[in-house]
Amino acid sequence: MAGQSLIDDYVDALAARLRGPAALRRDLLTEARDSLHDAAESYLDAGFDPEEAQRRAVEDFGPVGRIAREYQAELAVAHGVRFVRSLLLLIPLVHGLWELNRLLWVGEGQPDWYRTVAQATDLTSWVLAGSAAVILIAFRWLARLIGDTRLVGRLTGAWSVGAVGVYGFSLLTVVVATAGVDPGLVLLSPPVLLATLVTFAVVARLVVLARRCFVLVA
Amino acid sequence: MKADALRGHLDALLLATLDGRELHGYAIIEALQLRSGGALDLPTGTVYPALRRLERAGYVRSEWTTVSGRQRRTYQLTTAGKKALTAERAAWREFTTAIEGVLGSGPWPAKA
Repeated sequence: MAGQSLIDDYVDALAARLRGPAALRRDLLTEARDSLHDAAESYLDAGFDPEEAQRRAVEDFGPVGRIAREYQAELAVAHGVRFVRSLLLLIPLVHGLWELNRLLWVGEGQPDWYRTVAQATDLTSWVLAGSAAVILIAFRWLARLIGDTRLVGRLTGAWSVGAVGVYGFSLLTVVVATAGVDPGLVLLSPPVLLATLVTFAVVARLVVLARRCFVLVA
Repeated sequence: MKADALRGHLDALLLATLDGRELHGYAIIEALQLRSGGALDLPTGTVYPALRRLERAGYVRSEWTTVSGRQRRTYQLTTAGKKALTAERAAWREFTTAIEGVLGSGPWPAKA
C-alpha cells in the first residue's frame, strides 16, 4: 500500500497468511511488528538510513512464507486446544438434555433396544469426554514429548475429526432411536424437539471446528 | 553458523539466554547474537514461535509488561524450564566431551 513502510508491508503480508484464534493472531503480529521496529532502530543507531534500516530488519526476520508457516502452526495448535475444550463442555450439556428427556418424557416403557442404544451413546460420550480431559491435562507433557508444532497440530486435528465423527454418529443414533420409539416425540414434544435441535447445532459446530483444525495446519 | 545446524539446539539456546533474567523477544535475539559473537545466523522471526512452543511446554512463561516506556511481551524461565536447562547443559557437556575425544585428539600414534 502506498505510504506504508517496509515493516508495515511485511507485517501485512504475514497477517494475510495467518488464520486462527483472533487474540493469539493479534498477539503474534504485535510482537512481530515490535521486533521489526526494534531491529530497525538498532540499524538506525548503527548509522544506516531509515529505509535501509527497515530493509535489513525485514531481511533478518526471514522470508515471509517460512515465518508464516511457523506462526500458522502455533495458531493451529491453539485452535485444536479450543476444539478439545469445546467438546469437553458440550458433551455434558447434550448428555444432560437427553438424560432429562429420557427420564421425563420418553417414559418408562422403553424397549430393550432403545436402552442399549442409550447406554452405548452414554459410554461413547464419557469415553470422548475422558480422552478430551486427558489431552488437556497432559498437553504440557505432550508438547515436551513432541517438539514439532506442526505435528502437534496435525495430531490434534486427526483426533478432532475422529472424535466429532464418533460423537456425531452416536448423537444422531439417539435422535433416530427416539423417533423409532415414538415418531411423534421428536416433532411434537417441545423438550425432545429442543434436545434434537441442540444436538444438530452442537454437531454442526463441532464439524466446523474440527474441519478448521485441518485447514489451519495445512 | 547456518539455521539448519541450529534447529535442534534453538530451544536450549533460548532457555540459556533466559537463565536468571526476564527479557523481551528482541532482547533475546540480541543476547543470542552477542553471546555467539554474531555467528548464529537464523531468521529472527523463528525465535517467536519457538518461545511460544517453550511456553506451551511449561518451560517459559510470558506477560505483557512496559519496558522503556513500550508494551513488550517478556519471557522468563519457569522452574521446569530451569530443570530442562540444567539437563540440556549436562547433555551438551557429555556430547562435546565425546566429540572432542575423537575429533580433537589428532592422528593415532604410529604402530611400533
